[in-house]
Amino acid sequence: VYGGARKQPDIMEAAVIAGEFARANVYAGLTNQGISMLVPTLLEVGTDAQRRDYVGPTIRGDIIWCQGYSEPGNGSDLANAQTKADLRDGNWIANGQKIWTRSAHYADMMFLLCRTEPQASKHKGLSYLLLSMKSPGLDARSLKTMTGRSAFNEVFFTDVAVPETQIVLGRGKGWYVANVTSKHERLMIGDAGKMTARFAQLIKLLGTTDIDGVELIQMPEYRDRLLRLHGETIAWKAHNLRLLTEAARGEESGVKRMIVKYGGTMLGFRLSSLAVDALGSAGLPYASLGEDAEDDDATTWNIDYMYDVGLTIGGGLNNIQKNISGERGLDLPREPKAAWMR
Amino acid sequence: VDALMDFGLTLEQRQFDDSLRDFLKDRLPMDRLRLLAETANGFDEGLWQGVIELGVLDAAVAGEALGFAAAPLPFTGSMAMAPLAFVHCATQAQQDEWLPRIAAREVRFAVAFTGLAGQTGSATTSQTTGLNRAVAYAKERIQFGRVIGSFQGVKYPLADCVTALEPCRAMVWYAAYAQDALPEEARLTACHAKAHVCDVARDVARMTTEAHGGMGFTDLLGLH
Repeated sequence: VYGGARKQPDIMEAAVIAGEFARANVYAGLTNQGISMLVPTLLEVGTDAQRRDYVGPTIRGDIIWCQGYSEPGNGSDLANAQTKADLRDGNWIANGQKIWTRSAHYADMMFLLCRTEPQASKHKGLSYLLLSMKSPGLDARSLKTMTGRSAFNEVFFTDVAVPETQIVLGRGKGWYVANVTSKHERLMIGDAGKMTARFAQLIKLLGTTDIDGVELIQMPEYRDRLLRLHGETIAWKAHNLRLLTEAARGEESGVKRMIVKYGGTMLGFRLSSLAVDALGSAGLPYASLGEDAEDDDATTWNIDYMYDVGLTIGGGLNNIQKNISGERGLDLPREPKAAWMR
Repeated sequence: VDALMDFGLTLEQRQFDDSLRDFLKDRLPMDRLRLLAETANGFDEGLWQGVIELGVLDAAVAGEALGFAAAPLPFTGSMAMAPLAFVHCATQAQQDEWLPRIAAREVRFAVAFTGLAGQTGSATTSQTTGLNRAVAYAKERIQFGRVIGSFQGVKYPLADCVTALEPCRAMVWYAAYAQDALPEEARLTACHAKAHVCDVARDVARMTTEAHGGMGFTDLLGLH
């Protein structure tokens, strides 16, 4: 109806296709926050008009989206977002600042979490708006990270006008919509297919790197680390199969899904850590980073290594993931609120 | 359908798992386990007969249920590996001689073998039991005026445990499935399952014991 293959969604088929692309180490077409996060969100809670306007163009790549969530003062405590939007003469007028906005320098549109109901409680005061990045008063500035590249931005809003109808699900429903979106983001970050492909690259690296003529893969200390990581990679691959089957059967996966982002990003970090150790002096940070770096193996592993540090933070810090697994998964009691907040 | 496309227990396997766990819960309370641990061979003859009468269909599932209850049985060797070895590798004469005797419980086998789906399943679920007990304890034990499970210092290690442990279950299923259907991966996945699950099991055992505080170190709780 809104574009795409015009057939019933098939979770298994999608997974098989994605798995084959990952195995071949090729890009499975466009992957971005619009396709993997906004599209499923609009399919779940958008209006017909929003689906018609955005789903097709987004999956075709005609509209690139960025996510306006984190703020300098409110990262993990996302529900406390303070960027505000007031309704005046049929427009939301947005003011404030977002940070960690990936792709904002070339995105066409943003999905924005902002405070529209200042009198309501923290979680009930937020709304979810869809706006053009070309709106007057919007200023995106690049933010350089430890990878030496600038994939992220800060975005400043000064009286940015957004048409009233560009709200998703309604006033005060922003937190609910954002949770629909994050569910898809955490899945995207903990992808086991990528781990399997990276493990194969790691074997290649250890087989082609030597110290005094001995390949690293022949050395017990490297081999032991490699094989432990292989065991972990197989375990996560099998876990992914289990989750897929549960999703296809329509079963709730509960804690099994909550652990994926934390477990997957830590495995990714350990994989690239071994690669950086194997690279020796070529694996030292900053030796081969930066915008002009060549795309040789050392550069790729260096950037992955630094980026993996970022992945343990992005999409919900891993310590927040542990709160979620502990509290919602294992049903452990929440941390009591600080006295001054009560 | 390729089983990798339908990767989970079937309804029959789940029912079998449930019935075996119920059976073991009734038959193996902590004081009975303690008594058995102190006998010479640490083996429960009566339980063995009961398990055989249930009809053991699936080695990995049974191994998990037995591990969940810390059942002291020669399950992996006698019920799973030895019959499989005879069926796949022995002559007809050898099969005729030994299989009926295994079924009749006249002989029991110990094995040194790589395809240890049942054993790694036991290691996974015995630690699931440990984690369940630690979570239950963390919800009732009060220190500094709070239930200790509300402290991130206790909550996070338990979240680490579940993060390491859950993929082990799927890994054991995968390794068990590979024994039947993926010969080129069978040996590798079995070795990896054994190595990885045992590493995880030891870490989980230590962390869940720590979550119980001093009580965990006593003989009384029987975490060991």
